[in-house]
Amino acid sequence: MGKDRTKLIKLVHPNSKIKLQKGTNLPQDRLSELPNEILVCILSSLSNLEERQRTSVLSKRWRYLFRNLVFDDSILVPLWKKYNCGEISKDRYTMTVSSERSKFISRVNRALLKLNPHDIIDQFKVVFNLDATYTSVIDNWISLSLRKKVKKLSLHLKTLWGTRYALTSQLLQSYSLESLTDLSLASVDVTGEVLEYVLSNCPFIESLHVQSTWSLKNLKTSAPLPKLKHLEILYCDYFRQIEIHAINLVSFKYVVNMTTLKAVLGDVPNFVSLSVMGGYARYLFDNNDCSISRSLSQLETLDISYILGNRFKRIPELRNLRQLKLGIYHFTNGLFNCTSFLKASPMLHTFGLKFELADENMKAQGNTYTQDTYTHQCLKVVELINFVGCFAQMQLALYVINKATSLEKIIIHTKKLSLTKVYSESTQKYLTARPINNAKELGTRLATRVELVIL
Amino acid sequence: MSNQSESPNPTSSSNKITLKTSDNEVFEVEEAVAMKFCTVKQYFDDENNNNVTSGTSTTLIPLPNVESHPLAILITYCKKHLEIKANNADNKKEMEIDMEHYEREFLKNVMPQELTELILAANYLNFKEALDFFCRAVASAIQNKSVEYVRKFFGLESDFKPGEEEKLREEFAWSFEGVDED
Repeated sequence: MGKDRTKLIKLVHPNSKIKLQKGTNLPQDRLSELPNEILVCILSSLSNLEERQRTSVLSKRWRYLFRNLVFDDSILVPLWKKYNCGEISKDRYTMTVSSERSKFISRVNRALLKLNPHDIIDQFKVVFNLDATYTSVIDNWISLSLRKKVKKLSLHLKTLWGTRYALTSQLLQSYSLESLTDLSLASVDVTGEVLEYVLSNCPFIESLHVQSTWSLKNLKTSAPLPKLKHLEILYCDYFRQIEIHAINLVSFKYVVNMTTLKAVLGDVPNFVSLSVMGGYARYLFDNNDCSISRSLSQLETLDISYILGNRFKRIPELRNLRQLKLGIYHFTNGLFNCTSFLKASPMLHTFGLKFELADENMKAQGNTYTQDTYTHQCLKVVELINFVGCFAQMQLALYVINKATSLEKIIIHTKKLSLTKVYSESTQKYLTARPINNAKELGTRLATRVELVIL
Repeated sequence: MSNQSESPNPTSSSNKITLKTSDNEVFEVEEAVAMKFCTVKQYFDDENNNNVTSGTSTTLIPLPNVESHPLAILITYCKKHLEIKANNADNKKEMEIDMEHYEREFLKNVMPQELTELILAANYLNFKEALDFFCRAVASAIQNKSVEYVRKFFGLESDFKPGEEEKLREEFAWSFEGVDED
């Protein structure tokens, strides 16, 4: 490391302007002393693909540092918004998507072809609307990335109309899956048998995520999965049976509109995080017949979405629970359920209330509970998500806040309105301002020690 | 950097470790701080293994690849890091919030040229949390900037053959949209 301070590169503060003069002495490249891992660490902190890709033009060394091959459809987001608002027709939308699609495919192909024979890929992720028509293209991407010893493989194909791409074991059989640690599939047709093949041949798999697949009905493996930590099954409407042995499982997310699931997970001593829908949560609380329901007292994080207004009558003691999030879809029994969860979780630190539906005319029923003297000593943070500030939301929020005697902070995420629902600019302004005003109004009811954050 | 600013808290009874930088400045830091620097920890462990009888009070660890300026900043950062961790021992989320707040304030007082020095020092000392944080800071400093700006920032020269760079720019034309002006 040079001791001469004048040799240090003269960097310019990001807010000031750099003059680009030709012929000025270029400072020595001090970052060249850094190993590639650190440059990759900087690279991966860049938030979007364009940023990361641009660094490949910096110099020869940077040319192939970019190993996280992430291709997404962010370019289509404005188009989707226009289509959603009715500004463009479905035909026009489909046409533009299809012309963007061919560009997208050649971009991915080029990136993969440019790799040197010994290069390896850390991550290969594709997010685009691609259906079964593109099977050979997608098969080819999977083969190439597996040959490049990919660690994290994600296919989010977002098929809206048309037949989904199907992942088959025939394709996978030609390659070693030993490098794979994360597999994430969305809108990909995959059966329980294919996943069983994958899991049995991936000794290092840590995370499995499957989303929006109707062909997935069960997941069973006979071999133990000692590395598996995170398992997520989302919106697979026909999924009803799981039988695996994952002794190191940490988190399980099962967001499927199904009130029962035959689950055998074996002993899960490190299991601390569960995310499920309301109906299945009630099933788990009522029945003590699977490894998940027997592990409830271990949970540190619990997220229950789409609570339809039924009473949670039998909540087991959640003595390790630190973070709880309830997704309120229907306000009926809201106060009752909040009290029941608070009482069941004496160590709770953060309580999130997510309002899944804003209904102006709903009241959170059960006024009698506002009079009870129960208080919670531990709760420090309350988060309100999708807050609009209608009567029922205010009522529920104030109720929880008043129960928490050691409350330190309340974070309000005001609802971002979707463009489809906003017809004129003035309505939009009115609707955007209102949740914030209501949040401020809620703030005036807080004790002075409580910090209010409005987002 | 004055050694005084890093002088030990007289009421604290914990062990001190002395670090000597390439520009011959001597820093006395608490053991807990020094142990966050994996390179120092390694040196310390090796020393102890080789010479079991020697006391730690006299150990002076030379850091031939670190200058006093970045080291002083790293020590301050490390102390604060440990303090925030201790204050929020039972709450990871709170700790992250406090840490984020501190890091934001921290960056206000750091010039970009110091970031490069800090990364080099944190890398040599193998101080992981700081290294991660500085990498994120560099990333946000070059966010949305042109290739020329980023080259200048890193002090790099293009070493492509004539025409090569233009070809790359053409290939990745999609990634050059929406770049800030220099």
